Amino acid sequence: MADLLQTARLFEVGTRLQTAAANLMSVAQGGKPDSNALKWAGDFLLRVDWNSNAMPKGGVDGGLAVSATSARPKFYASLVRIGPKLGQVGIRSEEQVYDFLRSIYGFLQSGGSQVLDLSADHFKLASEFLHILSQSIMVDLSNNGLPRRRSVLALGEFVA
Amino acid sequence: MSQEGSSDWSEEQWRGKMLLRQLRLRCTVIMNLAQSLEDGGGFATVTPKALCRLIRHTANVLDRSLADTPHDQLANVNYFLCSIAQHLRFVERSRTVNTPWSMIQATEHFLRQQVGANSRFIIRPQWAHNYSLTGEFVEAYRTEIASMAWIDPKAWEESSAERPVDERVYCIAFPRVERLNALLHANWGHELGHIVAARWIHGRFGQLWNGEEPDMKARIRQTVEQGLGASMNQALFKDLIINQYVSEYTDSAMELARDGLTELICDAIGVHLLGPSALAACLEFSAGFSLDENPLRCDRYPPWRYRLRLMLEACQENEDFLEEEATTSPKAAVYPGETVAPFWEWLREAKRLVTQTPDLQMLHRDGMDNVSVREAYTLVENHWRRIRGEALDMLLGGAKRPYKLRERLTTIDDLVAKLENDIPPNEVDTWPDSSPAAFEDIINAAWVFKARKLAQDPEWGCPKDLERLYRLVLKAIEASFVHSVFGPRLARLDKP
Repeated sequence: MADLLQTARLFEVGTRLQTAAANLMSVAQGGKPDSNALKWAGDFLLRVDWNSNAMPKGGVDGGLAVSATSARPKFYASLVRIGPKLGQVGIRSEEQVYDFLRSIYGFLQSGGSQVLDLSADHFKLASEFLHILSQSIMVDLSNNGLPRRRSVLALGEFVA
Repeated sequence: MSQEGSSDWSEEQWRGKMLLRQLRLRCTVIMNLAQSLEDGGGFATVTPKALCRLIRHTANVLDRSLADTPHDQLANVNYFLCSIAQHLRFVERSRTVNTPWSMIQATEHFLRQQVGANSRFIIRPQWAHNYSLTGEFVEAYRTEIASMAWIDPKAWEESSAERPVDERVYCIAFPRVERLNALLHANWGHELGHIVAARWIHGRFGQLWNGEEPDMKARIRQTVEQGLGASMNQALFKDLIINQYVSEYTDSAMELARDGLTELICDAIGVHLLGPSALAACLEFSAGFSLDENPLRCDRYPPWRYRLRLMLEACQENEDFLEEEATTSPKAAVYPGETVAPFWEWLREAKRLVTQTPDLQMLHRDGMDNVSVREAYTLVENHWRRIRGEALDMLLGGAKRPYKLRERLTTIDDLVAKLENDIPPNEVDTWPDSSPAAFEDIINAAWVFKARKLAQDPEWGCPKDLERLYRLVLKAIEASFVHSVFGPRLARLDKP
């Protein structure tokens, strides 16, 4: 079955994370963020990151737990992908990575009011991280505009 | 995000200019296509036109908001627009010339009885040799529109009498080469089950998963650490990399469990609504494929043998046809009776298939490469009986009671006798005391007839014999629908 709602929910995650990424970039450049967009992303990322050791406000949401499990491999892959840039903002150990992420979650969850020790470079990096994560979710959905490969002998829908 | 030399150039601006123009054109083309398909008509029901209006309206809302769309979101709008454009193919292929039109209205009527009058179905052929259900369109579009912060959801929700807003729209596809094969269309019970399965998955799976994930994650982590051994000791960000492995296997296990449960719920609904004919259709369909394939190699579908086993168990609960040989038991004199006995014998083949368990051995095999499958099916097996009960409970009032062929023996005898005489089995008894046969009875009688003919005459079953049977059954489904819907209205008109 093609469950369009499951696809729609992943699309929702991709779109909302991109909105949050744009807001973080705006903050890095001295702009004012849309607090709703940040809060949603903060709650979601807390669910995704096993090391956050925090439950989002509002208790257990089964739907969010499922979307978080789907996004998690891309979350860690995106973190590994920005690995070289972490060093450029002074992050050189796993513990510092988790501290950086915790500060970002705090900022997102507060709707942009809790800045703590985050610099413009931190916001830029966080924006890039969310952009990569959002894009990898969307690429999964769209296959980047390319036809999905199927073996000639396999059963499947060839003609759209 | 990359910059190229000049400060007034950015990739985002380049993309913005390029995409904005394309998206304007694409929105217009999609609106025009939807309009022309709607105007072209030729559909058996009003549902394809309703989907046209939904797509046209959605493209219109996206078009009107393009000026406000952030450049970094244009690619997402493009994806959404292209995906709804693809849905127009469902409309195009559902024209009566492509469908077993005589049973479309009856089928939609039957389907709506099970899941609610606000559900609508497009039934269309596909060249792929399988059945599928796509949907639900309205809620999916609503969720996607709501995620776009620059669009006011009211612009999409605003009421229009012609557009489905409070309705649910689905598309059921069947294999084109089986267009006339009404017996195999017993698989539509399974496809209908997807609606109930989706309700269960969206309503309950999250809670189940939330409770299971922590322990499962710990077991998977243990397997991964054993599997990777000392190779990770020197790696920078070792914990992150292990988390990436564990999260991938956990995600895979969740998808395998969710999609596996979905199919198993659908099978259970199919058997519940259409009785042994659903098992017979699945048995016949699966004969062409490997019965024990790993779900990781088959789009996360459970192995056929596993599905047949659970369908058989459900059938057995209602029909009691596995316990004794029809011809030797004293009980056989009255049950199942001479007409149905060959069908029972035919279904017993399934029991022989599922007493072997290579599927279970494959699903529970040890090793890091199979950890997601093993975890997923352990979850399924621990919860299956409760989940099945909850899903069946989600059917509407009248549909909560399972179809039991054993309670319909007199009707089945009557309908099979009609088929023996080349008469469409559309009604029970003789006019003026006749009443329209139920959809489920017609399909089951057709399977009983087929098994009986195959047992009686090894030569029976050539394409000509089968096509005659299919056409009689299609005619019966159409006539019975007309009789049951329009008969009472005509009777009222006849009254003085």
